[in-house]
Amino acid sequence: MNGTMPERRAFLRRVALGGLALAGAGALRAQGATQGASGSGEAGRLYNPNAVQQRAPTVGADNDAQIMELEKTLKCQCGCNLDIYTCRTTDFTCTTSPALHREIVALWNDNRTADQIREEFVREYGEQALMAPKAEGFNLAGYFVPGIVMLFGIGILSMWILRRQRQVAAVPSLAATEAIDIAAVSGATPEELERLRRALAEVKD
Amino acid sequence: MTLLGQFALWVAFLIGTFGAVLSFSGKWQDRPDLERTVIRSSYALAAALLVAALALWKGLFAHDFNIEYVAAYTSRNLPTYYIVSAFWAGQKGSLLFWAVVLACFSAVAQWITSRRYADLLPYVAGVTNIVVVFFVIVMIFAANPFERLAFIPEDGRGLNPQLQNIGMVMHPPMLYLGYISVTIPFAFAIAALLRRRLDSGWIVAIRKWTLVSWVFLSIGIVLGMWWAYVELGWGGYWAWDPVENASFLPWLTMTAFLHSVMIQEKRGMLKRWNLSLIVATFLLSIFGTFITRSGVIASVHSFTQSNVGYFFLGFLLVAGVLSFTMLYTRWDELEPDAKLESMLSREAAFLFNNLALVGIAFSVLWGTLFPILSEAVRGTKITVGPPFFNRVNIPLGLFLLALTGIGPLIAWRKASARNLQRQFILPVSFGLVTALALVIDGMRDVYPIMTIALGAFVLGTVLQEFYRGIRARHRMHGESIPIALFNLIARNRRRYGGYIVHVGILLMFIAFTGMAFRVDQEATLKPGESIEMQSPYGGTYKLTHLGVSQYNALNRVVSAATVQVEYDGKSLGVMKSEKRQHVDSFGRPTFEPSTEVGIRSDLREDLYIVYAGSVDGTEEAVYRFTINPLVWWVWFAGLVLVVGGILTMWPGGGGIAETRRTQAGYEATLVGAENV
Repeated sequence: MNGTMPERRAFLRRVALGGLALAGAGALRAQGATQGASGSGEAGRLYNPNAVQQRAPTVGADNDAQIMELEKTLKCQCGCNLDIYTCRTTDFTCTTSPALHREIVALWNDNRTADQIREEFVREYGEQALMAPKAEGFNLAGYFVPGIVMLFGIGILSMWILRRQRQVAAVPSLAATEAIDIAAVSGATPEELERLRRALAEVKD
Repeated sequence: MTLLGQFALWVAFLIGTFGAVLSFSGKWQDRPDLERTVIRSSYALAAALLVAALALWKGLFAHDFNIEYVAAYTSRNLPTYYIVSAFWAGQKGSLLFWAVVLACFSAVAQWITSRRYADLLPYVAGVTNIVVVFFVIVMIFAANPFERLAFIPEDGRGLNPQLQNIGMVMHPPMLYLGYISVTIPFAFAIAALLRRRLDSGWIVAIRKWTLVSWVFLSIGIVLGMWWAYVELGWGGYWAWDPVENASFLPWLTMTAFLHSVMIQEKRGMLKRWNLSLIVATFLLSIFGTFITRSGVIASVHSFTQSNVGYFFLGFLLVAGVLSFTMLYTRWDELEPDAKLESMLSREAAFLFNNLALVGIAFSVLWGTLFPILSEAVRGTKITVGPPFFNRVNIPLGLFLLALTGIGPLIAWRKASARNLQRQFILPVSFGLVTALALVIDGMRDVYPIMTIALGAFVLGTVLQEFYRGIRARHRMHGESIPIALFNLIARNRRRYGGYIVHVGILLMFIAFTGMAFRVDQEATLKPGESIEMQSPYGGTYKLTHLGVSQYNALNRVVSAATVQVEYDGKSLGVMKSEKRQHVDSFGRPTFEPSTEVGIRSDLREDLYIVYAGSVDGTEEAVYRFTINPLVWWVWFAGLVLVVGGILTMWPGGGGIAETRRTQAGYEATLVGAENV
């Protein structure tokens, strides 16, 4: 036994080291096979520039909170159903949203207010330029019908329940007329009934 | 294989039609052999469609690009698990998936339903056969997954990069399972109407099915949110897109049904309402399919526009008219067994809860359809986006959240003033103290304060219910607290599972408020350059661009931009966002480069990094950095919701015997008991 333990340990150590070496070599080989030339220098060229979208550098207006908020209320016209901000910061294949963003920035720099820019977009692209319709005319139906239906439902339901309540109140209840003697029906002892009453009082369901 | 698939579709069509005709002819009522034939048609239909499904899978795995569907959604270098998911990635395959799963559900329903409802089963088979046959007809005549091309391409187009995500492997089948399984309760409802067996028996028969549908829908919706968040790159998880709304609508009516059905079980009330909800849920699931596939409403993630929308519209109209006509003709037979006794009762609270859920469903449907309505009325196309839905639905959602807490606090039948005082004092205090604490802490946003305070109120309700239940068991049986908690849930899984679902809902509402505090920043950085970003919690992130490396992977060229992240001077590690240019097996680009976001998530907030692109083909990278508070809690809430849902439907722990005991409780008044 004494002779075999060190041998086994040495064997296991060799297997572990061998395994690690193989795994390391595999990883290096895999890296060598897949690693392309990454850029060199401060902003070196990419090995395959076509594999990424080309973007214009960020400017101050891109992070202007007011412009961002405004863009979230205006729809991109590329057919994507997103607002301009979301589209230009998500769908990097879209060329429409960056153009619309530039248009907004130009209007903003021209000292137009957010409302004026929205008006300008509605004039240019129609009412569908807005992410939510203006609350006027027929659009009011869009905003208020769900609320009105809900209030109407609450009114009808309350009236219905109150009417039922009156109907039930008009009929003497079973409890008021002839309370069933549960002890007689169930054969339970008074102690068991008391325990049941206590449990029900706890749960109150 | 395509021949076998085509043949299987035609066989399914014939078997399904035969079974449905036989079922609705009613001839089986005096002929047990015909009854057996109708039921067996469900099994045969499932078998035929399984053959069709296997034929398509064979085509997908064998790269048989002569099949148009295989060429459109796979390529030779597509990883195996995405070949599996390609089955439901496109219009045609997903129709087959729908049909085969529904046929299997139908067969399972026939197999496991208790013999007590044997007289309903042939009609159930008839209804499910009709729905399956409808899908088979759509496939055969409008969207055949076995359609062949006139040539054999060298390679397929591959799967859309945004669908090459584990979320998309799981989300669609889960959502479909939810949509599809709704058909079984609907079939039982129609069978009950046809047999005029309008007591509450059929409700018991479908209870598990409705819960199964609800759980699948919930999983599908949450997985869809997760996929949108991790894959689409816009930093959010819900955009009120028509397709998202379409999945939410049946979930809302199904949730309403799961509440109101308790009133029917316990008190024999709301029979008409429950039947209407089941029919509405089924129709909304078909409506969702119509929206997704017709292209009638613009959506960021619907299937390609095609003529299958007309099929669905026609089916929707016919199914709606027939179902509601049947309901109308049985109206008088659906008289309630008992009457609602008080405005201050759990029944009334459940009714208001139903009203809120159906009201929200109406509101979402209204907003989804309003562009079409506006165009029809004014001739002007308008957009109804998130600002509209948030404005209309947040107040309704808060009303629902409040009812989630109120319902369990009110006694059945009629609550006394003492009962109300005793029940409400703790949860209301919970809510008020939370609101006060938030205001003192400096929060001024009304909706987040209301949401968190109402969430605390609901949590107070749930904790109080658990506390009282545990205390009762502890006193009566001398059980320790963990044992009492276990037994409490195990012996009344529906009730306490339901409370766990409520916790999931309140957590989700609270997590949604995090979006009000989202911070975005765009930056263009050369390697080594940094920006700083302020977290809504007050700390500062320092984000340093390390560089962009490019390498080839199995079916794509990857450009990985790496960012060193520090928070208040402490290093949090390196994050990576990628651009992936997918290629076919010949190295030819198949789609535009797609984006893989980098996400670092903790209990407080997510740091979300999007590599938008490079400046002039260099390592100078354009990023969008986003800090999203509380997103982790959305996924955790989803998990709690699903665990609660699974608990409620787990076999045992109540059931028919419990229902009968409960019903019997209303027929006798305990001597001296104040409230039962």
